This record gives sequence, C-alpha cells and structure tokens, in this order.
Amino acid sequence: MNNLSLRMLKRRLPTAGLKLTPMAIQREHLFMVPEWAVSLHYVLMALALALALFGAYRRFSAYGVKVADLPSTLRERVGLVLGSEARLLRERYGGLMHTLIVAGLVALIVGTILVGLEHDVVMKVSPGQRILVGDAYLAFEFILDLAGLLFVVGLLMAIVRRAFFKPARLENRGEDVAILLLLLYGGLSGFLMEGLRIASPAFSHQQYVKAAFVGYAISRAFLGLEGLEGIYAYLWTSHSLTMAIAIPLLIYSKLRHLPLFFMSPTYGLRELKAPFSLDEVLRSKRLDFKVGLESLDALSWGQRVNLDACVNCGRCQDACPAYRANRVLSPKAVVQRLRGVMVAGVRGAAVGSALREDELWSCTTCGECAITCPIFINPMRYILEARRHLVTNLGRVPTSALFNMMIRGNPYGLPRSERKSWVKSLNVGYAREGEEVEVLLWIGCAGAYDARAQRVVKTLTSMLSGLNVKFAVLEEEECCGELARRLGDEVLFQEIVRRNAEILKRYSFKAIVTPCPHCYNSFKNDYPEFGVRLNVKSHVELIRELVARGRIEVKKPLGKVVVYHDPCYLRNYNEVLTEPREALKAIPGLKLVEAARHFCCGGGGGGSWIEAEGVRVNVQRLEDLLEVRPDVIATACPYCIGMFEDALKSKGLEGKLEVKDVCEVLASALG
Amino acid sequence: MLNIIVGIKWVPDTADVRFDPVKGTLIREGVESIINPPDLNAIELALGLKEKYGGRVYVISMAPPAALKGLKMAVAMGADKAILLTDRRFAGADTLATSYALAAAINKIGSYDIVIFGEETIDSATGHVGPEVGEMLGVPHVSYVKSVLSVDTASRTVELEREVEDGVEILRSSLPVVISVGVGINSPRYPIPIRRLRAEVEADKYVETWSADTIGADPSRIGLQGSPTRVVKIIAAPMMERRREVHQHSREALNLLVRRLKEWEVL
Repeated sequence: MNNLSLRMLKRRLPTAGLKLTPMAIQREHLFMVPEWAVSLHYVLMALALALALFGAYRRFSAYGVKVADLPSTLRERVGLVLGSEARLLRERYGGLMHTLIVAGLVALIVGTILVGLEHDVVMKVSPGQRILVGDAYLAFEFILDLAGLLFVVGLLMAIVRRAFFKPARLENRGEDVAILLLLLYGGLSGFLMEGLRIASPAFSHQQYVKAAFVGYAISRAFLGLEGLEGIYAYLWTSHSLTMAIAIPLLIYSKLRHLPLFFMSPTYGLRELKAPFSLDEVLRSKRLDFKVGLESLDALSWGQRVNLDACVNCGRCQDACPAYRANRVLSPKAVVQRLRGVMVAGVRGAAVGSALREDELWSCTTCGECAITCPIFINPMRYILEARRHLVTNLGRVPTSALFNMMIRGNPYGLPRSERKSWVKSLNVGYAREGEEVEVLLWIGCAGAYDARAQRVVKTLTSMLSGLNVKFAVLEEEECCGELARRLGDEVLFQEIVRRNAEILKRYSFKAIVTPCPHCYNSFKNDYPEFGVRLNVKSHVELIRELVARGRIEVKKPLGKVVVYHDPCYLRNYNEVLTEPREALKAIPGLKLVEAARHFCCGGGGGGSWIEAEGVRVNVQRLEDLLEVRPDVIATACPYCIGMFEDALKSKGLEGKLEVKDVCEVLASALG
Repeated sequence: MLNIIVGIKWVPDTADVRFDPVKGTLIREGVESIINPPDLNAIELALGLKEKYGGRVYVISMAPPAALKGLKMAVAMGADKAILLTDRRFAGADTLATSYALAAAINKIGSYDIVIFGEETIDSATGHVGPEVGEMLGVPHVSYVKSVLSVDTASRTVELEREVEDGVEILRSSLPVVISVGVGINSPRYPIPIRRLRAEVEADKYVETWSADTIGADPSRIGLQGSPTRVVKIIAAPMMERRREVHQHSREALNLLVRRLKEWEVL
C-alpha cells in the first residue's frame, strides 16, 4: 500500500495520534482458537455449504431455471441494486434499517472471504505471503468494525420496530424474529471476540488495534481478566455455528431474497406478452397453446423465482388502492399464497386454490404494487395472468362490457350510430385516404359515448381547430381493446387489434393523439407486439408541445389552486409526469399543488365497469386530493374524471369543486 | 338427459338501422348483425337445463352464411352443435315458411325434448315462429315462458312458469315441448373466448350446414313460394322524444315524481 492511502487512513481514523508502521502489523489467524474448534469450524462450514447447495439445487430445479438466461438477468439486476435501495428508502426508517444491514453484511461477508482467502489459499500456496498487511490491514480492521457496527445498529432498529412500532402490513412470524436474533448474535459475538482478543496479554500489536475501534472499546472491560481463553473457544465456536446456520438460511428462509434478487427476471408493467398470436392460430388452425394462469404449472421459471423472492414486507399492500379501500385484495397476499402453493409443490394446482375471483376483480391494474416492490416483483402480473385464464378459458367476467365491445365495438353497449351522430356534431373532418394530417385524433370510447368525456373532446377539438392544427378523426373508430386485455380476454383483444391495424393502415398521419390514457398505453405498449407501430401521443403531450412552441398563448390569468391527479396509465406505465404539469404552469396566476402521494382513482383494469364491495377507491382518492384544498382537480383521463365526479356526488360536494381535464383548464385560460 | 334445440336469428342491430323516408326502405348498409337478444336468453336457458339435467344443446338458424358468426357465438356460449339452414331457395321466407323449414330441420335432428325460441325478433317482432313450429311438429307449445321450474325425465313432463298480464301461471306439459322466452328472463353468459376461437378454427366439428334437400323440404312450402305474407310498404312512425328531468333529491322532487307517475297512470 502506498503512502497516499496511508495518509488518507490517518485522516479518517477516529483516534488521533496513531503511529502507523507499514508492513509490520498483520492478522494473527486463529488467535486463541484451539485445534478442536478449528476442525469443528471446517466441518460446520462444509455442512452449511453442502446444505445450502443442496437446497439451491433443489429449488432451482423446481423453478426450472433457464441457466442460459441467468447472465443477462444478473447484469440487469446488478443495475437495479441502487434502485431497490431507493425504493426501500421511500420509507425512511425501514429503508435506512435495511441499508445499514445490507451494507454491513456485505462488508462483513467480503471481509470474511478475504480472511479466508489469506489463510486458506495465499498462505497455503506461498507461506509467508499475505494480503492484509500493515496499513491495509488496519484499514480492513477499521472498515470491518464500522460494517459490524452498522450491521448491529440496523438489526437493533429492525428489532425495535418489530417490537414497538410494527407497521400493520408486517407480521411477526417466527422466521422473521429468529433471523433477526440470529444475525444480531452473529454481530455481537463477533465484537465480543474481538474485545477478548485485544484484551488478551498474549495479543501483540496492542498499540495499533485502535483501528478496530469497537473491539478496542469492548476490550477495555476485559483487561486483566483471567481465563478468557476458555470462554473464547466456546464463543468462537458459537459464532462459527451462527454462520453455519445463516448460510443455508440464504436458501431456506426469507433471506433467500438476497440471492434470488439477482436471478429474478423483471416483469415490467408495459409488456404483457400475448399467449398466442391470433393471426398464427387462424393460419395454422392449431390450438396447442395455454392461456393464462390456469394452474401453477403455467408459471414461467422467472415468475417462480419472483414469487419465491418475496419477503412479505407488504410495501405493495400499502400501495394498493383496493387494499386501502378494504376490498378483498392484497397484492402481498396474492404473491404469498401463490408462493405457498408453489412451494408446497402441488402439481397442477388450480389457481382457484390460491386466489379468489373477487380478489382478481378488485385490481385496478394501477401498477403501484409493481413500482413499489423493492425486489421488483410485479404482483399485478399474476393477477392479470389469472384473469386471462378466468376470462379467455372460462368466460367468467363480472361485467357485460366485454360482450358490449364484441357486439357494438364499445364497452358501454351503445349503438354505433350514436357515436356517428355525435361526432358529426363536432364539425371535425374525417380522416381520408391519401390525405396526410398532422394529428389523427383517437377519441376513445369514453370520449364518444360518455357525456362528460364528450365535453372534454369537444373542448380539445375546438382548441385544435382554433390553433389551426391539421387534424382528423376516424369515422370507423371503435374500441382500442385495452379493456379486453386488462380484463383478460385475449381473443377479443387481438381481434380488435387486427381490426384497428387494418383501419389505421389506410390513413397517413404524423401522430395519433388520444385524450384517453388507456388507449394511449395500449397503442404504445400493447400494439407493437402485433406489428402495429404508431407515433402515439397523449393529448397532454400534444398540448405541452403546443404551449412550448408558442402556438397556445395563455394570456388570461386563472387565480385558482389546482391539484393535478396523475392517471396511472400516464404516470406508472409511461412516465408522462412533467408535460401536464408544465402545461398547467403556463397559466399565469394558477397555483399548482401536489397530493401527498399517488393513488389510483379506481377506474382502471375494469374498475369503472365492476361493482365492488368496500369503501370506494375513488372516494378515498378524492379525500387525498381534498387535503391540499384545491379549487380544481385537474387530470388527463376520462375515467379519472368520471370517478371523481361520482365521488364528489357521494360526498355531497357536487358543484363545490371542479374536476377538469388539463385541456379544459387551459381552454378556460385562453378566454 | 335432455336434447334441447334452440332456434336463433342473426339480425341487424336495429339500433343502428335507419329509415330512408324517400325510398321507404330500411338502410341496413354498414349495420352490424347480432344474435336476436331474447335468443341469447333462450340459449342461456338451454345451457342451464343441460347443466342441471345433462344432455345436448343444438342451435339452429335459417339464414344466409353470414349468420355462421352468430352460430359460432352460440357454440362459444356452450352449445354442442350448431346447424345452419342455408339455401337460396329459403330466401324471402315469411314466418310460416321459416317455421316449416325449422320444423323439418328439427325432425331431421330426430330426438328432442325441449325446443326453445326467443319470444320475438327485434327486426320483425311477430312472435310467430315458436308457436308455429310447435304446431308443425304437433307438440305442445308455450309462449312467454319465464322459467323452467323442473323437468321430470321419468314421467316425461316439464313444469313451466309463464308470465301473464296479472301474474304468473304455472303450467305442466308433456315432453317434447316448444317454448318461447322473453328478453331478460336470465343473464346470458359471456361466450367463452377460447371456445369462440375453437369454433372458428375447428368449424367442421361444431357447425353443420344443411340445405333444403338435407331436410327434405317440400319446395312449395319454403322461401318466397311458401310465404303467404307480402311486405307491401314500410312507413316510418315518427319518433317520440324521450324527456328527461333531473332533480336534486328532496321531498318536492319525490312528490313531483309521484304526481307524474299518476298522470301517466303508472300508479
């Protein structure tokens, strides 16, 4: 080690005035450890490793791990480590606690490996050779003591939390408590041994060991005591035993989330792969495929690893709007029960044995669970796959919206002629073949059939006409199919995609713009899988562009407090966050405020179409928004607007507060 | 075990059909077709009976080949077999000629216990076909059936609930029987998507197409030739605007509602 690092070390050492002698000090391996303890240690370690490897082999073969996929998964996951900690730190105490434990544990493991490497490899291969010598060794001692301290503090924080202020989402199972106590014993016994070592008169380098600052402090209590060696041997063995237990626990307990984090493929919100291609089925006339989570056998290896990685932390449950509204759903319970059935190894176990239908229908597909999970598990994905089985294979769906879509091309079940006559009243041109437009405006079913959403479309089209944006609408527009996909009817969804692909092919347009985030997401993230690639924009993105380019000039001030509610399909699925806010901020006098945190309005994933028990999700979300005392709730989704207007009615606040689309807020400021 | 036959019609979605006042004809161009709504209730009733008593459900329809789509939908709901009676010679049939062809097809199927029709179609609304088929088959027929209370396969009788003006009649009939049911007597199930795909891909297994010859029809009793009815002219009835008033919940609003209902002799 060079002088530079020596100087750095001097500066950082907590005790000033140390005299550091390079190349002199080194570890006294197995100091005060009798022969029998050393032998026992190697036996224990061999057993522990064998048990862990056996467990890993059994588990990984039960998952059906595709070994070839592991390197890419590992690469991806290493990149997610910091993101994972960041997700944990959204809750300060719990996050800090976990970060301390992880940081400490990782340093301790690396340290132990280094010591082992030096003693069992380097010194065996070339006697007299060392890795940890002099100031490097002192740095090592200091870092490891610090790591041990963080580790113990983190564990104590966890124990105190579980004992005195346990969040409701956590359960104190035997496993949870035992692991904490075991690890704490490991940390404390390590420090105690270090203290005893330093206190021993036989220990050389007394003057240098202040680097091991925790052990040094402890050693002061033992100075001059007799017979420490006898105790030390047993303490050392118990420490060794702690490790021997902890190593297999990395497979056999919830600690497995550590290795499994690195081998879990990530299932994002956006990709919901088709179980078959309708085109291919119609061509080949073969039906040799499975749809959805019919039984647990249908889980891919990656989905199995993800299930098994869950530590039951419950952050997803806290983020779930359905759970908050006392509906039957908890994403944590979904994952844990699926995991339970999977681990029990019930071959061909029906999903019904783990999941209830009303649970599946309570999900609003907001995706909060998936973007909250620190292990990047996507609980919603299992729900959607189970819905696919329920609907595509069994036809069980608690709403007539799908039947309506099938026969009338919209979930409302209203006649096509109603849309036609309403669109006519807009005085907007239809798209014509061979005539390119700047914007193809996809109205969406809500926009075409729901009276409130129709007003948004009317405002939007008037605004675009006023700005001389060259745009057109489709005469033959029907449902985009998004609802079919989220409810789980993959056949209907793909039929609709085929139809829309045919229609959209006929016209030329620079961008397809829609005021419905559900259509937006489906076009953007569902359609490409079927070869339909579109330049899709949300209407708020278009408006933001028009404001930025100065085509929308907002002059009239609007002295109102506006809270913006993010539609899940813009925020969670597509990260469209800044555009609507910037568009609103362009209005002079407008005060934009934010709710404490995001929650779904309750309308997604079929929520607008399914009657649910419990407190209503929309009322709770409205209450969140009311906390910041807005004059206007602005949002960018027809379903959010509908949900909040219903919630206002049920709270008797109708007319007291406005719920508006972003384009309506802007239009009111255009004058 | 019951053999149940359901007769369905593939009709234009009348909500979208417009009347051309100049030509005096209906504009059906670009209008999608659907299964006649009460026929969905008929299918649902049949599938419920099959689930309860076992057996098979056949669905038949006399129509141009486009109606295959509707038959496949019925298969997707759970029907075991669909039969399409399609032949140029069937064209122009009124209810009598239609009933004749359907009865011939039912006889060709052979053994049957219950034949179910939707009460009437949304595109012609005669309500003839159920009773006419019953007469032609020479078996009892009951219209406006609300539910099938029980089937006794040993004594070969059935108990039916029939909706009448002032209440409900409970009738017992021998089997076989022809019944017709109104819209809304039950909630038709959603056609199982994967079965819809199956009916499309493996159509031969589920759908048969029969011609006038297959059912051994007398040419003089089918199609235009077998139809005594002629549509001479169609007149559009002026549409009544539906009025809607929204009142806040209050005693006055309730009083107003009661007054209106009395005015309209609903109360």
